[in-house]
Amino acid sequence: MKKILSSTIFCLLMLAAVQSQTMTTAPRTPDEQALSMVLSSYADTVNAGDPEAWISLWDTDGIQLPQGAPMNVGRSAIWKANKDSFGAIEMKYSIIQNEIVVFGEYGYVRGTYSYTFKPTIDSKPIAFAGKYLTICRRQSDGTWRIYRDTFNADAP
Amino acid sequence: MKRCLIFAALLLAFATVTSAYPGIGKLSMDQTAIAAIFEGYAKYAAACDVEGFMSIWDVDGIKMAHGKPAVIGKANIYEQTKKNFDGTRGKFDKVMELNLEEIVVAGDYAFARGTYISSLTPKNGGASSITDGKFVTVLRRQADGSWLIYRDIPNSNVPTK
Repeated sequence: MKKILSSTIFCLLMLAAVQSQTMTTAPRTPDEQALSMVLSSYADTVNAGDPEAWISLWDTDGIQLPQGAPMNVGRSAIWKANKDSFGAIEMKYSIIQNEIVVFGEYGYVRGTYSYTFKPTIDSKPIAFAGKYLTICRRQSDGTWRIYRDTFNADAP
Repeated sequence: MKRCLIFAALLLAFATVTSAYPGIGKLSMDQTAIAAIFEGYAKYAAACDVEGFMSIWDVDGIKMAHGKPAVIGKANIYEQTKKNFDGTRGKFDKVMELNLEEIVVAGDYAFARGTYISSLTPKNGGASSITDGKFVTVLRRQADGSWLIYRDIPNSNVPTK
């Protein structure tokens, strides 16, 4: 019974991971796999409405460059600017990773994103699509965190 | 005397380079080369100079402009840029200012981050359209040691309607 439950949970987690991200580039090295995981966790934590898990993906010196607003400089500023948006609206977010490049202590992931959200419970879902470039920095323990994150919409 | 003049000229050049980007500080040779790419970017964009603008792009470059899907490859970027510049040249006075806040070099890649302000003023009168925003650009070192733009993604600070 325990085995069946574990297998079911594992399958559900895998399904959730596949739903929230697709890759057109296969990570080859452990560093590329780690970078890919950071981005898939980004999507998963947004979909889960979990701001604490989402902010934990960021470097202390991270800078977010959101569309339609000035830069948020530093993890505390990023937290302040984003924490209230989690869970405030019903949202389904997914990303595609088109490219992963590691260069020294840095690496980037480039791809596209799409999301739908309902401003109110009764609203029809509104769809958005765009592209992103996320630069990560290797931490002293060898893990990777988001250092610079920028994105924009495909629609004018 | 000649040595003193050369030394003074070097000091002046050094001061010019370091004072241009106060957020970055003293520039390395690679950073200086990359900063020159962005000076070209602003100059060519303002002049609607397609050939000049394309000269700073890697052959495998990807332009991720706001309001349209990514444009992949230098040939496609050329087509899009030509269309864009041809629609602006002669009809508008265009000004573009880039402010570099960061240039990080690691091996054969580098990235730069900064802000921009651009304005378009119709030559036949009318109000200027001013946009401010920010960008992250990845550059790739070429076989000859020079740098070219590999990935470029700007976005506006103006809230989406």
